[in-house]
Amino acid sequence: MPTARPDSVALVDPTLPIPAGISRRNFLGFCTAVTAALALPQVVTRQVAEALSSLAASGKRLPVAWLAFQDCTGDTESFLRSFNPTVTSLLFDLISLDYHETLMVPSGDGALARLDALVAAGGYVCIVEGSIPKGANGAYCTIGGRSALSIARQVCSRAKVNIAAGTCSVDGGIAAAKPNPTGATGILGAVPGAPNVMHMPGCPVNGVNLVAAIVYYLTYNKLPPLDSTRRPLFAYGKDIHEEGNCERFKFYDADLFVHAWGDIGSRKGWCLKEMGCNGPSTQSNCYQRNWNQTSWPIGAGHPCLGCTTPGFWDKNTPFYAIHGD
Amino acid sequence: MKIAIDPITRIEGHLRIEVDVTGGAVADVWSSTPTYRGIETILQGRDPRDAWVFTQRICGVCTTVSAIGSVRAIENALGITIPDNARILRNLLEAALYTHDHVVHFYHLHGPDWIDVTQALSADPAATAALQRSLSPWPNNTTAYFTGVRDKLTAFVSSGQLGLFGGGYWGHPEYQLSPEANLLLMAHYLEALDWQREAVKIHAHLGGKNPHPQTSVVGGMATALDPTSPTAVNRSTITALKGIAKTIKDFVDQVYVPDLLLVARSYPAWAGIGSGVGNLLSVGDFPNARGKQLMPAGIVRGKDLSTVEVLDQLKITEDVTRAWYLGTKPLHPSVGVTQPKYTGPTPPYAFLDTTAKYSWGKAPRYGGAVMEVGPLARLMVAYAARVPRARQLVDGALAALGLPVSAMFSTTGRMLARGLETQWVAEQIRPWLNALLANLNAGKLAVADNSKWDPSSWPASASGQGFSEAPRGALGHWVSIKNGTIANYQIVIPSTWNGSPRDAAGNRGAWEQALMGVAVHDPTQPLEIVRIIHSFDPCMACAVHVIDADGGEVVQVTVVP
Repeated sequence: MPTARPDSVALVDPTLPIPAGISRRNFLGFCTAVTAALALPQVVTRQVAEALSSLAASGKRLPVAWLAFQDCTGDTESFLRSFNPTVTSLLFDLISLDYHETLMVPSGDGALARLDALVAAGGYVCIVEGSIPKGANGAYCTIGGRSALSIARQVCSRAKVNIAAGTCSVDGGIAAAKPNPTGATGILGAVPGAPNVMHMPGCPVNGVNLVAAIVYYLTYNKLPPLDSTRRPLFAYGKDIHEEGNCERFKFYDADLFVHAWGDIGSRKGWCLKEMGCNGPSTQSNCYQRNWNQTSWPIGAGHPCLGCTTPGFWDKNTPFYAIHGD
Repeated sequence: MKIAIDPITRIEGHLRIEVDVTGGAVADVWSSTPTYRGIETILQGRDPRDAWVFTQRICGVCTTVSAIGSVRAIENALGITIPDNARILRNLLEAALYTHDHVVHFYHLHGPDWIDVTQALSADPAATAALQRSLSPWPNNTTAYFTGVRDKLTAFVSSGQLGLFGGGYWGHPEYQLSPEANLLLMAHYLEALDWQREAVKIHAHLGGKNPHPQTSVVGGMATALDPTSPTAVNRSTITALKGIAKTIKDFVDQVYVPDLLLVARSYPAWAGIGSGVGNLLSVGDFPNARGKQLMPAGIVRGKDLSTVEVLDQLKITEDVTRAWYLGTKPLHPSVGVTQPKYTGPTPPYAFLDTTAKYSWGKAPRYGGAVMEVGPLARLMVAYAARVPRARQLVDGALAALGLPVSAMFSTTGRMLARGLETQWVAEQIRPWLNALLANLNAGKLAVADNSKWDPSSWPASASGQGFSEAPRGALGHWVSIKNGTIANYQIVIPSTWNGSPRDAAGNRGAWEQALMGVAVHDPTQPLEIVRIIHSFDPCMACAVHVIDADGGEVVQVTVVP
């Protein structure tokens, strides 16, 4: 994890108003940390702090619609694990999560009325979790008697920005793995004209990347720079299998490999390539940001599944075969 | 009058409940699962060692249990016995999951059915602090603390942007907590949001991430143990895990369980509402070194806690009479024939035709009987089996509330069972870590039996089964392997049991039975219905399981008691 340099906080105007319910130190701490997470220079901390401060002072949080279709709710769970800012700070100071079936209070018509009001008002960010099935006239996933496909068309096409949170809403994910029994697809497969789509694959997406992207949008009112598959470069711009990235790369260079669970190499943290690691074909900042502020799969001793790669459920399987050279 | 409640929110996945409310009470009810993915179809022909990665994605809320169920099924098929460390590590992963999942369910999913956030704004912070001090030694108990929380909530509500809380049934006469109890529980709603991030770090230490940790593999675990290696689980890892175990246990003992008793005391009528089918099924879990389960398998019938029937998994069948599949007679999952065929209305629709097929969920039955699974089933099967800790926990809570044991068969009882088993599991984490440490100190470092890792060591065909208890109840995986690949894979999942539609005999599923006759104050604000449904903690991504789009196949199953 990059650590905040004290001088980056000093760049921020000391008279800057701080959002209610958070200490100045914590606020500037998370602005510094999220700036680092976005792979932006620390000088930008000032812009982040000013934008969030003015947003909090305005009393107008950004409306967000979170749609869930053929999902496992793993991306929501990952979102709940976010920090810098934490989900509490995000929900109380920065965004207004007006529709999220897993967390919202009203059910039934009361819930759908929230969604309809949001669409009518416009000006919201849409986050999609789960794939959208096109088979059986939409009957493989319905909410309130409406098909997922029709809801996605209605809500995504009117959003300012659409974020595909997790692999399923990027390309159909696991449901689209062969033979794709339900005709599952992602946002752009379902709503080809959806505006400003950003792909944040992963199974699930790492919550810290998702909230960092939201903070970027709150600061600059636009999406962060994307790669050719619409993934934000700050999170998906670097190969795992590089010197200075994966901590096991030095063992790859030294031809020291794990050959069996619990063997000497496994205990000593050697390279997992022979056990099927997909690190060499994967771009993700897991090694840098970690999961749950603690570790990442390779760090804990299991090969990378390559879950940020489009089509990984077919492309990277069998998972335990040796991939690449 | 018929009403459809869809989406039922604050659950995992998608659920639709249609009810006929006549004379202010539920006259009939239909539980429909409106989503289908086909993961078991996708598994066919793949490497069995990959299956856990796929089945884990059945659910990201009860993450890990479908991975563990899967590797157990394949280990059973291949005749693999996992080493002691793998057993302990799997218990730790499941224990961390239970505690995390049940706390989040109580505050964030079920909580808003009992807590009126708007009432919290008029609470007296000093009286709230006094209430907190009367409940437990939890240190956040000052007037200043609750003033801060009240101010935060007031600022939030007065912003006019109510976010997740917008459109709630605020002011409904069924909300009966004092303003101070509402403020206290909202404070803990917020604290639990931070706490839950810490609790799952056990998964990140042992499996690299949460949700969807990566470590349970066929034969054991990928996580290595080595007292001399900084990259493996070593003594300092175990010290760190003990710190998390304390964070978990303190919150459960001092916040969750006292709050649960406060809610139960404040809503006495709910100890008699939503009683349900009264038949309980548990497959048991958390094996010790001799294979004995902490929570035993068994069947309780007709609310009779004087005896426990031995579970015979061969009595499990699935019925598709009222589900969108072809098929005529109930079949054991190992010989299931499944062919999806949607015959419901084309969306958008206002109502399902509930005289015909009405769900993607099938109807599992045990010897033809409807069963409830989940915390209530686990705890009361243990109670009926006279497991001492289960007896202490249940009798202690009931004595504190002045309730008879029959009150466990209720909405309140389901909530109590969830909280009490959280306490039970939370207190096991430290002893299990000590067992792991003892192995580490003794140089017992094996985490896997690798002898059957290579598919060339497998027989041409093999089949097996694996069971685990998910937080939401009994989970079973059945697998058939031919020539190194998956020939058939079937899963029976907790919410399939609880949320089932009717069967051929017309028997309603467990949720349907629990809702029958319930009084509904205002059908446009069906608070009573969601309270009961939430007491089961539905998990709908889990509930739908689909097998073979081509018509299924008949396979053999190795039966292991």
